[in-house]
Amino acid sequence: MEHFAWAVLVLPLLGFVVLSLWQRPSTRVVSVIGAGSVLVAFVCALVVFAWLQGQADTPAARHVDDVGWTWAVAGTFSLNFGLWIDTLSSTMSLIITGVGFLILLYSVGYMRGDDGYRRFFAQMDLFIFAMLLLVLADNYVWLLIGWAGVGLTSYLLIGYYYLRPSAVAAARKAFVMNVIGDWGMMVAIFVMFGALGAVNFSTVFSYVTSLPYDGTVPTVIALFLLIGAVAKSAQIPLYTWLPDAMEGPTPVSALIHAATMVTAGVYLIARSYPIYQQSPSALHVAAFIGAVGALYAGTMGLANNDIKRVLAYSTMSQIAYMFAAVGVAVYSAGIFHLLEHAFFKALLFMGAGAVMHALDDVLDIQLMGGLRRKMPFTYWTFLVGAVAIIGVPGFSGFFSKEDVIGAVYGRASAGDGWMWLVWALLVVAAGVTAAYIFRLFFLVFHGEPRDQALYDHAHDPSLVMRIPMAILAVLSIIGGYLSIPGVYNLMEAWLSPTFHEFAVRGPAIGPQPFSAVSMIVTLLFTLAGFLVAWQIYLRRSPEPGWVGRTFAPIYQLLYHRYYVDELYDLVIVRPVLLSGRWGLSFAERYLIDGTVNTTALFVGWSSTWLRRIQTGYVRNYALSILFGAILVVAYYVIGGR
Amino acid sequence: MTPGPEHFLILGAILFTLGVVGVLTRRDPLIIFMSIELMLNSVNLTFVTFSHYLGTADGQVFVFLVMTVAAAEVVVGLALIVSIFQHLRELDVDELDEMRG
Repeated sequence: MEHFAWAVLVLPLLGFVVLSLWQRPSTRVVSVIGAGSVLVAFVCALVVFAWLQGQADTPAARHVDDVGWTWAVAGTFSLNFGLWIDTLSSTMSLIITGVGFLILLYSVGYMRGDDGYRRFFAQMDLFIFAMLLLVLADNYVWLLIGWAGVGLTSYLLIGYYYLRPSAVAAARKAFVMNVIGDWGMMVAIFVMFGALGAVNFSTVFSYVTSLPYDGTVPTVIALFLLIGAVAKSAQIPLYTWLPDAMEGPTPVSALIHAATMVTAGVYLIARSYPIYQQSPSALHVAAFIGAVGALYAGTMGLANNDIKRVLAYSTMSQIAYMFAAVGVAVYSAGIFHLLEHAFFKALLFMGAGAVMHALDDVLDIQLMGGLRRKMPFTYWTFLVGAVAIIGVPGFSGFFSKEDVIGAVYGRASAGDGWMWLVWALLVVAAGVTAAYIFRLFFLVFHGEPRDQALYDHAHDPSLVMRIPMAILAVLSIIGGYLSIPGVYNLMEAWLSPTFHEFAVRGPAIGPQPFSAVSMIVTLLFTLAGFLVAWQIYLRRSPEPGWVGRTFAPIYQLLYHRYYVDELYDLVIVRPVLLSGRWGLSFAERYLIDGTVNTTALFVGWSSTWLRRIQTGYVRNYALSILFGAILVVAYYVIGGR
Repeated sequence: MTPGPEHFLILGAILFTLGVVGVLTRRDPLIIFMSIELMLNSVNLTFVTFSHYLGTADGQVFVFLVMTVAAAEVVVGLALIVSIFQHLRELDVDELDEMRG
């Protein structure tokens, strides 16, 4: 079985290596290698999954730590490279390879005819390898290597259209913000090593309870890990890179910036649950970042006119839900929402890509409209995705979001007063979700075409793009039945061995009691949000323009994304640039150049005199040797001994 | 009058001085070369003188050493002079002032 786990990791790497070295393969070969390697990896992941499923339902039986080799030794410290195979990493590798394969299949159609076809598939395979390394590593150092690897490939793929300055700038921005997160992770690992003397999961998780409960050390470790999670998952305050990352090709946005990489932060917190259990304060911080982010990102999605950026804010908002779930220590709910989100958000991005493809890469939803008649397939699959994300009963988002919100409600009613606030924010965010998704949906697919030339041009995507969309649409419907609130919860049962492997303190891990009140309130808010979008963007009474003018201050605030980009520009970018300019104009010119130039001038001035000695005539040199000899002799003759 | 050691030493000093003056004043590299040889041999004379009057062989061993080195030096030096002549088509050390600062 271990061999299959290794195969999951190695196959995408192999795909990357072959595609990088093979100079001129045909398009067909690139597609087969690029997508095929991931498909085989998915099959291997299924084998691992089936094997785990067949084991006894105990933490020990459903966890294998397969050590490959000793990677580094320094004194008493030694670090292995090994795979950590349990129900959580199995679930993650299924999502990564499964959704990854579907998106690569979609890319075969989407990227057809692109000059960088081979480069695209090579980098996508490298990304999938790095992401698998992240979830399969059995210690924090290798997790961090995978973590940095996905950051690198994300950078490469955001800047895929490298001739476009905005794409290059977006890639740089994403990289810098992600490195802030990497830095946080490194500090966390250092503190971990200092406090526990180890960085591999089994040792850290076994001994973390020896640290003071809710004390400084576990809190510091947990908060620095949270910095990493926040940067990677585009949460407050390190989120501004995600909307810009939409400069990359749409399959990249679907895979990296919706389904997998940005959810790595959730995985990190879930994986490190013994550390977070030891520090309820850090858990609270995560829950609040999630609650505030869910509403905050959703509202920004309300006023944006770029089809992919709306989906980017939506991604941020949905990941914030996952943060809230892991923040109340109901880790399985977070992972469940992660899984469903991978389905419906990848589907929504594929729909957006299909629309862009049909409209010559137009992104402005104000130029679309009425595409329902031209693109029926895209229309219906997008509708499934939209219905799933807002959580209409019966669709996947309903079950997973209900799990998350219900978990927070359970914590709140169990006496954690602050969680009422978290719950309220999440419920309101559910309403906002419905509003922004259906605003997008109505503007794109309903109403009258606002640009006739674009409209005439539109068409449904090719078959190779439609197949993955259809599969994801089906998954977005049936995927949710892994858990029905109050009836059964297969997801929780499956992940339970992982989250009960280590003895921990802190809030009890496990599902919260079902609450009909929470569910009904959430559904009412969702309905309200949907009706607002329905009235304004479909019935057009009141007119969208009128709404924008009437609530101008709010609209402008949302339209300019709370001016946070401007704030970061003012507080960080400008001072750095200013100090750089000062450094160039003063420090560089006068201090450094000045010192060097003065030295050179002094040497030059003194040599104008000394150079006269250097006549170039041999006899002068001989004469000076003679004088020297005379002086030496005179010294001994006259005074010396 | 039998010549004593002082006569030999004075002769050596005179020959050495002649050599120095020749090196410092002449412009023909061949003459300069001969002057250097003169200086070397005046030193040899001094060595032999001391060796003889002190009754040790050390000075004479040195003389052989000096003569060997001088022979090698002549080979290299003459080759340089030929090369300089081919380069400049004249023999004048004052023309060789490329090292002037």
